[in-house]
Amino acid sequence: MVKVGDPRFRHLKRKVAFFAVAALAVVFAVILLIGKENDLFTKKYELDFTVEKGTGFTRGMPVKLSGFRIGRVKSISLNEEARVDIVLLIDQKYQKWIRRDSTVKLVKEGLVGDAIIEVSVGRSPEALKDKERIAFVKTKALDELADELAEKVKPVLGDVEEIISYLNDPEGDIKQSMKNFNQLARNLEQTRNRADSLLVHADGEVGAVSGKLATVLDGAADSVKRVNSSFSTIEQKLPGLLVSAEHSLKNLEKVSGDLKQAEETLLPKVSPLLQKSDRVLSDTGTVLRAVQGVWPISSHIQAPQERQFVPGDSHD
Amino acid sequence: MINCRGGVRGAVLLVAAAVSLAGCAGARPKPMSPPRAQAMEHNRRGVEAEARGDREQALAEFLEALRLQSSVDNTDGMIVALINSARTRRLKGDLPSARQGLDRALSLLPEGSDLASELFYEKAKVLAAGGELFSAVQWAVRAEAAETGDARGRRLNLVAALKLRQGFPDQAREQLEQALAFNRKAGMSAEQANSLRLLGEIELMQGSYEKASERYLGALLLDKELGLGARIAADLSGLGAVAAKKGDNAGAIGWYKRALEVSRSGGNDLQAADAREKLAQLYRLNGEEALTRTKP
Repeated sequence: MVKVGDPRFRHLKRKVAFFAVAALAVVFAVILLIGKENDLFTKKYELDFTVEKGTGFTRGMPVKLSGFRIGRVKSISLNEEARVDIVLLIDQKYQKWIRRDSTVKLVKEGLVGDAIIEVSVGRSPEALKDKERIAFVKTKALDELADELAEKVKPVLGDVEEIISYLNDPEGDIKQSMKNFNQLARNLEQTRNRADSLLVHADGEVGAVSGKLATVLDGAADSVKRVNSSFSTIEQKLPGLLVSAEHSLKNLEKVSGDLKQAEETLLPKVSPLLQKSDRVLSDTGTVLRAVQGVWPISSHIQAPQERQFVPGDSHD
Repeated sequence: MINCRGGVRGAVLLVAAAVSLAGCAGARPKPMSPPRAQAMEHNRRGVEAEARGDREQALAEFLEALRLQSSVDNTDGMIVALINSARTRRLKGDLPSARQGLDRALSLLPEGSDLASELFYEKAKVLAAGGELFSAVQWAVRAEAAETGDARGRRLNLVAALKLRQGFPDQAREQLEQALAFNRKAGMSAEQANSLRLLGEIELMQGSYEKASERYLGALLLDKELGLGARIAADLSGLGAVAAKKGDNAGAIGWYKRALEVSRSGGNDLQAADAREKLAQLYRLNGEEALTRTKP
């Protein structure tokens, strides 16, 4: 049996009351914290919108504005038109940013993050009130984006493939150009070596040529002097030569006139003369053939042989 | 009476003179058509040009003769012109053209034509010049078989020369003995000399130096009579070879010097070069190297 007089039980009531109050305080603090965390103690208002499909939306999913959480999805329900009505519960203090032209859209936080509803800040001066509708902007899902991207990339890939095959074609312009370029590079190296040697050679030659040029110029000066003296001589003799040439031309003219006269006189006689000569030759031939056939001359004339051969000696 | 006797005597003399003159006068040859006569003239000029060594002119003449003979469809005349042009081309060294011309002539040759032998002979010569000895012998034998005139010795000489080149000296000797007899009978001195020269070559090959000398000297005598410079040089070179084989280098040098002189004077450079080479060999054998570089 426990004695009431045990010092451990002194002020027992007081102690129990203290612990009970402390426990209650802790519970109350926890409730306060959780309520604060879940915006249970802030003033809220509702906005709603309708979408074709409820895919991606969940109850309680956060609603954010400029990256800050301002509310959550309160309810998702199917309406009479088989569309989905969604009600948002937004903190009252952010109401001033959500205006008539504000929109909501379903987005992902990062490539693999959670889905959220993002509210855009409107420019309209009038803010939306409780239970009013906000416009929903449909965003493309990742697979739709991927498909769209694939559709856009397909022709690009085709082009890339074509370009690669064109680049890889050994007979194509690029490969040929590269080949030519390589060859050109090699040739350039040779050309450069040759040019170097040529320059060295030319350097020496220029010196030699300049020396020769000086000699030639000296010679040319002498020649010019001689030409000048020749011109002087010609100048002195030219009048006499011109007089002689004039005489010669007159004589030539006279001779040509005489020749023309002779031609006019003689030419008509030439053709009959030639005809007569032909007849005489023909007659002579006839007479000769007749004489050749007369004995004893015919026995001394060798008859023409049709089968006369170039000697085909067996020793050749 | 006296007058009557004189008149009869005169008449008898007149008749005798007429009869004797009639015997001398022969029938006039049938006149030839102008194209044929002109062709014959061109052929004659071609043969003369070839003899002068003007082969381009000779060819031009033979081609004109061929054209004229073709214009009157005179096959024999065409064959003659073709043989002559082929021979000229062969001597000029243009063997493909020569062969082409001969093939055309062969296509024109009528059966049993007496031109066959000359045509076959030239065919054999062209083939031999091209080194086709086997075919050449066959055509040479056909030429000999087709020969009906005095050229049988010449045909046999060709057969023998080809057999010798083929390496059959005994068969060649047999042909040459026959050829020599035919050539003597026909009075063809040049071919007779050719037979003797070839026989001399065979005797030299077979080591019968005395007989070889005898043959070469016989050929030399005939060639000298005919004044055939190239053949004389060949005979002298043959005699030089015989002397060299006998070990008589001094004698050989003498023969070759003569051969060189004849060749040089006749403008036959190839023969002259050959004789000079032989002389150089002999000088070297005699230890007279310095003489190989001087003109003999």
